[in-house]
Formats: sequence, structure tokens, C-alpha cells
Amino acid sequence: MYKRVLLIEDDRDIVELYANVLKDEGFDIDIAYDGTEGLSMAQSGAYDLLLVDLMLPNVTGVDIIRIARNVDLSPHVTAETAIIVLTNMDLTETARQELRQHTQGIYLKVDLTPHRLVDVIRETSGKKA
Amino acid sequence: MSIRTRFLLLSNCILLLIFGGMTIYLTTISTNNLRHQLQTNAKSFAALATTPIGDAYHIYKDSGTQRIHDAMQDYLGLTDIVTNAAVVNVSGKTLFSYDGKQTPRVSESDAATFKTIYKYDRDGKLAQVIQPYFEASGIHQYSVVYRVSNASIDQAIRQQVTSFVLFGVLSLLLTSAVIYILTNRSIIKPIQDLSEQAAVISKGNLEGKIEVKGKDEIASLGQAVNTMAESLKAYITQLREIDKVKSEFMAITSHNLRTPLTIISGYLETSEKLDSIDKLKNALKHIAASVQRLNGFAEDVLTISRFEMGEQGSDRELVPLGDFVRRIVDDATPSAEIKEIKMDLSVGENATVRISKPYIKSAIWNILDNSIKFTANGGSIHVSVTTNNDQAVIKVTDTGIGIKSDELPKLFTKFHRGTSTLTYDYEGTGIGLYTSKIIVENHGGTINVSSQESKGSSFEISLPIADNA
Repeated sequence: MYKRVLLIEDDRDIVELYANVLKDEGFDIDIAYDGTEGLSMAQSGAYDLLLVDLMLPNVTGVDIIRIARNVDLSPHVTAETAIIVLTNMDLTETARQELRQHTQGIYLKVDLTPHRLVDVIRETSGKKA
Repeated sequence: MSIRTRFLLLSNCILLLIFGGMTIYLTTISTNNLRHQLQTNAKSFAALATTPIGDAYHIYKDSGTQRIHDAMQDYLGLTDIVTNAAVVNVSGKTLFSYDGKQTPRVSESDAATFKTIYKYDRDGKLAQVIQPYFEASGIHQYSVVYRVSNASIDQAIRQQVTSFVLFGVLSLLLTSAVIYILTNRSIIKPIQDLSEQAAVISKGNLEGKIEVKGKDEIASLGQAVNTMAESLKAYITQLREIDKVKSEFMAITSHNLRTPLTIISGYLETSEKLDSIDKLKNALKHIAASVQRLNGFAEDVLTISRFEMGEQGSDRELVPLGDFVRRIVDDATPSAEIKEIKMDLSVGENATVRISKPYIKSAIWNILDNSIKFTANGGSIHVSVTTNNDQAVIKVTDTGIGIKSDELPKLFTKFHRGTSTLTYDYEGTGIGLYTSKIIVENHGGTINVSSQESKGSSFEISLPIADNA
């Protein structure tokens, strides 16, 4: 079961919405409001799960995922660390395929109410086990 | 049939007609001339030769034909048009013939007459001259009959026709060759180049250009094809640009619709399980702000579409700007409070402007919304209304993240974003600032921004102060 979660999301309303419920559900949650901060926190390797938005200031979510999944650039991030993409954008099929290779799932935020997000995290965690 | 073949056939037909006509015409003229000349020659010959021949015959008729023959030979040797001469008596009987074989048939009346008689054959050619011979005493006992040959004329005419035909054939060949080369060089080749180029263009490659030489019709056709390709290229580029803007618009629209909907449905779900009125109030505040965001976006889209279709903001009225801005700031305060942003307003001079209230409201609202979005929790936003000469100035200064200097010029474009949806650096302002810009410009005003990265931004809207008269 994932415990330590990093939410990288610049929309503060969404952060507030998700973070409160995740805390209530017992997750240890850290928040990064922009790409640079999110990437350096992710690279510390302190998290079981990264929840990554794509449209972020400074460094895009796609770049965070690419760098985090590169062993040379991010030695502390293991294959055990799960990544879930949260976006409200329409992705091209090429982008979707690339993201699928590196992540455990791509979800539209509009489909994820906070409790639905909790369900998704639990399902992803269950698959791993 | 190719243009060249048709051209050659046509020109050859015309040349054949010309040469044929010329040959017939010239041959007829020269035949007539030659015949006339021959007749004149034959007549003068007969006139000159008859007396000596007649004398010779008269003197030597009893002593020997050789002397007569010699006398005739002296004359006949001088010409090739008279091939025989004979002496006949007045009854038409041949007394002596130079070549001895042919005896001319001469009627009695022709033989007896005192006049010179000319006989023509069926073709109208002079065949015979009967010239009466008079002795010194004036007695007419004989006539000399000359046989006239047209062989020389026939040969001359044949030669002439042959040279005409030869000349004609040579001219035809030469003309054909010249036409072939000329049409090839000045028509066929340029047309082939043109059609090859047009084929390239029709396959979608609009970069290719036709090399235009000279100033003739083909050159202008080439120029026209080039121009066509140019305008096609411009048109296609424009279409692609429109297509790109359209898909960016779709991407932004879906994002801008989904984000407030995420918050609304998220808070609706959590509100069912909230245990205090304060938490419920907070949820409702978020829901209300999102509804306002959705509404604002819908308004922006409509405004852009109206202005782009050429509609002018109607219902302009005189409005004291300070009071007007105060109401908008009041409306925006709840959104700022969610992020604990301190928002204040100072009105220096409450100038009156002539504006369409709903449009200017959304123009100002978009600026405030943008500042709230990019200002961190606990920051501040200062709004001021002042005047500068004949302009009323609304200034919104925030302590937000600021804008990179290379982003500034793109800020007021329709979608100030990267080319790929995945390389967006910002939670896009989307169309809000663009909407503000077209509204303000529609009111004869200007909108400007200055910014320092990580320190904050300052937006300035200037509107012309209304004449109170």
C-alpha cells in the first residue's frame, strides 16, 4: 500500500480538494506547486507515489516523468515508485503512448472526485502487490 | 494531335497553296512570253530568210539542189526554232524540202496568197509560217514554208517548273525545320516546362517556381502560374494556421471547462460527508468561484466571437470609472480571500468614461482573475484608478510569480502557449487576456503590462475620458 505521496499540481483549488481527502484517508502527502520544485522533491526518492499534473510552470509534467524515470538523472527514484498522471488536457495518441510506458495510469481530473482518486490509488497499489 | 504537328501541317498546306499558285501563275506568264517571243522570232526569221532562200531556189532550181540546200543551211543554222524550210509553188506543191523527208501540206489558197500565213496547232502554238516569195520583178511563183518547233519553249517551261518544284520542296523543308525549331524553343519547351511545373504544384509542392524568361505571353502565363502557386501557398498556410488555432482552442476549451468542473464535482462529493457548517461554506465558496470561472470563460468565448465577427460593443453609456471598478473589485474579493490574498482599491479621480458595461467588466475581471491565479497565498493585489491627460487609467499590481520577459509580447495573443500541448509552461491564461485586449481596443483604449519575474506584474488599462459636453 502506498503511503508517501507527492502531489505536483499548480491549481491551488485542486490541490486543496485532493490533499484534504488524501490526508483524511491516511496518506502522508507533500505538495509541489510548480515543475522545478516537484522534480527536485520527486528526485529525492522519498515517495511511493507521484501524482503529476502535466501543465506546470517551469518544468512540464512530461519532463518531470521523463527525468524521474531516467536512472542516470534520478538515481533515487526506483521502479517501485508509481506515477499517476492527472490532467484535464486532451492528449495526442503519441503522447499518451509515451506516458503509458513510464506511468501506472493516466486520468482526467474531471473524472476523479477526491474519493474516486483514492480508489484509483488503492487499485494501482493492489495491482503492484 | 500535338500543337507542333498541327502547326507544321497548317504551315505546309499554306506554303503548298502559295507555291502551287505561284508556279501556275508564273509558268503561264512565262509560257505566254516565250511563245510571243518565239512567234516574233519566227516571223522575223521568215521575213529575213525568204528572199535569199527564194533567190537561191529561183537561180539554182535547174542546176542543183546542193546550192539551194547550202543557201537554206546558212539561215537555218542560225536558229533552233525553225527546223525545216520548204519551197512550194502557188498550188501548194512542194518543190524543195530542206530535210528532204517532210513535205509540208499547204493548201492552194495559202500557197497562192500574197500575205504571210501563220498556222497554229491545236494547242495554239505557232507551227508553220508560209511566207510568199516575190521575184525582183514582183512575180509571185513560190512560197517558203517554215516549220516552227516549240521544243525549246517546252524545255524552258519544264526547266522552270522543275526549278519551282525544287525550290518549293526546299522551302517547305526549310520552313518546316525553322517552324519546328522555333515552336520548340519559344512555345513547346516553355509550355512543357510550365506543365511539368504545374504537375509538381498539383501534387502539393508549392515551393517550386517556374523560371520566367522574356516578356511574351508564355512568360506571363508562367508568371500567372507562379502567382497562383504563391497565393495557394499563402491560402494553405492560412488554413493551417486557422487549423492550428482551432485545435489549440479546442485543447484550451476542454481544459478550461474541465478544471472548474473538477472542482465543482469534487466539492459536491466531499460536501456530503462534511461535519461542520464552516467546511460546507468553504466548499460552496469553491463551487461558486468555479461556476464564475466557467461563466467567465463562456463570456470570453462569446465576446471574442462577436468582436471577431465585426460586432461593436453596443449600449455605450457614461459611467464613473471609480465606482464601476469598485463593484468589480468587490465581486472578485471572495476569490482572492480563498487564497488569503489582500486586495485593495484606491480611486484618485472618478473620471467618467463612455463604455459598454458588461464588456469592460469582463476585461477588468480577466485581469483581476489572472492576478489572483498567479499570486501565491498571502500575497496582495493593488488596484488603482487615476487619470493621465485625457485618459482614465486602471492599474492592477500584484505580488505574483511575474512573467518572463520573452513571454510578455505573447501575453495578449489569442493563445499564448507553446506549439505542443505538452510543453505548456503555464497554466495558460488561455483567452482571458486576449479578450481584455480586444474589448479595451474596441473602446479606443490600450492595455499594457510590465513585469518582474518572481516579484509581480502590473497591468494597465487606459480608456479615453468622455467629453461631458
